[in-house]
Amino acid sequence: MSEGTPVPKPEAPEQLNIKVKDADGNEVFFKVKRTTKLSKLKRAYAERMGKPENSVRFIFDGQRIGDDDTADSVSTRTQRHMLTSST
Amino acid sequence: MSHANCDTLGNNDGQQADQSDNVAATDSEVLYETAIDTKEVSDTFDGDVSLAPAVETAQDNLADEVGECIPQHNNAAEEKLAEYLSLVEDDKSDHEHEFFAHHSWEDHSYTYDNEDGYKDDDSEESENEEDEEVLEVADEDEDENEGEVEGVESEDEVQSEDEVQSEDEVQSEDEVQSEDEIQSEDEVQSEDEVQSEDEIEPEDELGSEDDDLSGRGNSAEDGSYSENDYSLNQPLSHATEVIEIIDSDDEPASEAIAAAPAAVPTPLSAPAPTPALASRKSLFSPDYTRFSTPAKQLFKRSQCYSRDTRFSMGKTVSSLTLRTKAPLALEEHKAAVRVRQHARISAMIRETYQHVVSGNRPIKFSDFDALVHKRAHVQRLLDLERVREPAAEEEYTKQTLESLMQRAQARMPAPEPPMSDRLRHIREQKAKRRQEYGILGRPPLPERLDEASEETVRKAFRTHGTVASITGAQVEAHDMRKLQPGQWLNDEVINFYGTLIMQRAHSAEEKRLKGTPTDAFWRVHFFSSFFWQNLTTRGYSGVRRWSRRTDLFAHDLVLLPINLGQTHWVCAAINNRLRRIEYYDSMGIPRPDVFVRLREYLAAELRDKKQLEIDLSDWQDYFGNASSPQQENGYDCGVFAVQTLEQLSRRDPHVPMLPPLEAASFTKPENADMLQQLREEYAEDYMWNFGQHNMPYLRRRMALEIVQKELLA
Repeated sequence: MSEGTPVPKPEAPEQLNIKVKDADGNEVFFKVKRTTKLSKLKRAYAERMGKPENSVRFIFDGQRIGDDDTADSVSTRTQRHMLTSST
Repeated sequence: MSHANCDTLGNNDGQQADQSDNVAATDSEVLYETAIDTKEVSDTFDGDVSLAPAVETAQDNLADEVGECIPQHNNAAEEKLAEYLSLVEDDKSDHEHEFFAHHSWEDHSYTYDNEDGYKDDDSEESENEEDEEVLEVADEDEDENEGEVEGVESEDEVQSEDEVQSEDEVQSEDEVQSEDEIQSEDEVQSEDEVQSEDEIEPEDELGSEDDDLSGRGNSAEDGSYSENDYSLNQPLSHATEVIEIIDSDDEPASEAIAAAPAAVPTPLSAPAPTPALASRKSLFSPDYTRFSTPAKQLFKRSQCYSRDTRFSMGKTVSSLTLRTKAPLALEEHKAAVRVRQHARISAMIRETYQHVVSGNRPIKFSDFDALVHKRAHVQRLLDLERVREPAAEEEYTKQTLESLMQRAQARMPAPEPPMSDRLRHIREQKAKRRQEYGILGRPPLPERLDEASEETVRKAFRTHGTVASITGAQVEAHDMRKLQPGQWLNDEVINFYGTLIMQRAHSAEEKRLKGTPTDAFWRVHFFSSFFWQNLTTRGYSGVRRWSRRTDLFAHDLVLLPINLGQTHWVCAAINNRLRRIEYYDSMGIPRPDVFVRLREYLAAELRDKKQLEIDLSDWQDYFGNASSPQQENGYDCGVFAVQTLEQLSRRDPHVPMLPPLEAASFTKPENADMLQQLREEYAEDYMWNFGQHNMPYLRRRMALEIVQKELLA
């Protein structure tokens, strides 16, 4: 089971550079649109690393990234989460 | 050094009679070689009787024979013989010595194979070499026997008698005594023994075939003699046992176990320790008196066993250097030893199982067996993690069995520490509430889901693809199947469930802020199972961003599941409110490094997020072993872990909610009385409302909760 940490960087509005780091410290870079489903990214990553897709989990800031998530949805979700969890 | 007795009394006596100067040294399943130096008379005796009816006559025979054989000048030996015989008599009614027998049987069979036959030949031969210098005899033996490396011999010679004895100690204690007798009587003999032992060890794997024996330059008479005696006169001897195991590789270990207890109750199968021997070997004498309970016996035996193992391992090494000629045979030998080790472990497990089950609800043996193995495995993993030299596998099994036994035995409440009236009042109030409303205000868990829910669950198990998805977690069909009975939960299920726990707590907090009094939950943050993985592999930087958007120190509890080596689920909690790091393991294995790591994490987190230095001096490391629910099989750990977290997130609804914590408060110690009171009120003497018997229900319930994306009340 490998786990990566994509880190969206708020540079260009349309395209993001995403860095995926696995538990061993390997890094892979991807360029994706904000609205691209991250499941595509996962598939590409799994293929590249030669791992079965369902053994790969993407975590962003401790949050599991779902198949329907996009870079946009993840960032808004974490903001929403920030609101709800502030106590 | 232990050589199973090829001579049963009848045969042996005849031969002994012929050699008027030698007294054959035989003992339970063990033949000690006869004295070579005819001036010395060894005084070990035959306690071995495999067929009970034959005991007395044989004994008498032996007594006569031996009496005749003993030269007049050796009075000491005679006295010992008398002592021994009287003890043998006593023995028949003495059940404690049956344990001995068991002991020695086991130890022999595991460490030494059918060296017996060979050994015997050796000794016979030595006998035939009349009045020779012993070392010469040994040399001849060596030469005849497939050209042993000579260095070995000298090595053995170098060994002092004491050393030899200590080697004996490693074997089995009972046997050792009589053996030591020989050695101390006759140093030369002990040397001889060691030699032949070293030769024998690698030889074992060659089996007990006659041609093997004759190939060693022994007379045909000797070879056939030992063979016959195995089968005819020693139906219960370990030698026969071992041969079976070796010859039929596919024989399941369990059969060997089954055979083991059967061999035990031969009343005279071990020599009784005479008082003289006991004083001689004072090191061991206290141990015999401790064989009063089966439990002690078990542990005692396992101790012997572990020492045994080390010994045999050491010997394997030496045999490697010794015997380059038969590497294949060595492998076979190792395999045979492994088979016997497994058989032995299984026997130990079986025995512990009897005790554990007798005090508790019945557990299936297969479950218990799986639990023991898994627990031992996890313990080993933990040792590896701590970069500690891992012990042998059976060492962990032993520890596991001991700990399970202790748990089974000590289910009584611990003595209450002295406490103030105020604390006692709190405790009484809590007990009263528990009586009235149940644990944390909850009724006991039902046996099963209602029919509608059950239907939902059934449908969920038939679903393909994604079963449920919430923000931050997702469960697919193949993850869902892990919730069926007997399956190990995976991280998706655990993390999904943990996220549900956190969401419930968050929504409760929202309602609370709106003034709706519906909640009975702490302010909880949940880290997925990757938190621990990142923290351990990458340190704080691996999880620094995880709490970027949340203030951990405003939460009462931070929950985290931990996966151990893809084998076991446990959980930990940072209890900010009660200032303690909690660790729960459904197999009850302590793990101090969790506390260290989480303390480090807390310090780094407060420094990073708030630029404050935390004061952890009044924080407590809490291992919830005393009360937390324990699994009774090898597969429910995941359910235990998340259910533990679930209950941790609950609060007693009859106790007022406390205001949110301030990060700044962590820089100094809490008022000690306050803290103690808090702990008493909210946590000490924690009661759990689930256990092993709830697992089938909880698995169904978890499936339902995941499908509905909401936890039940």
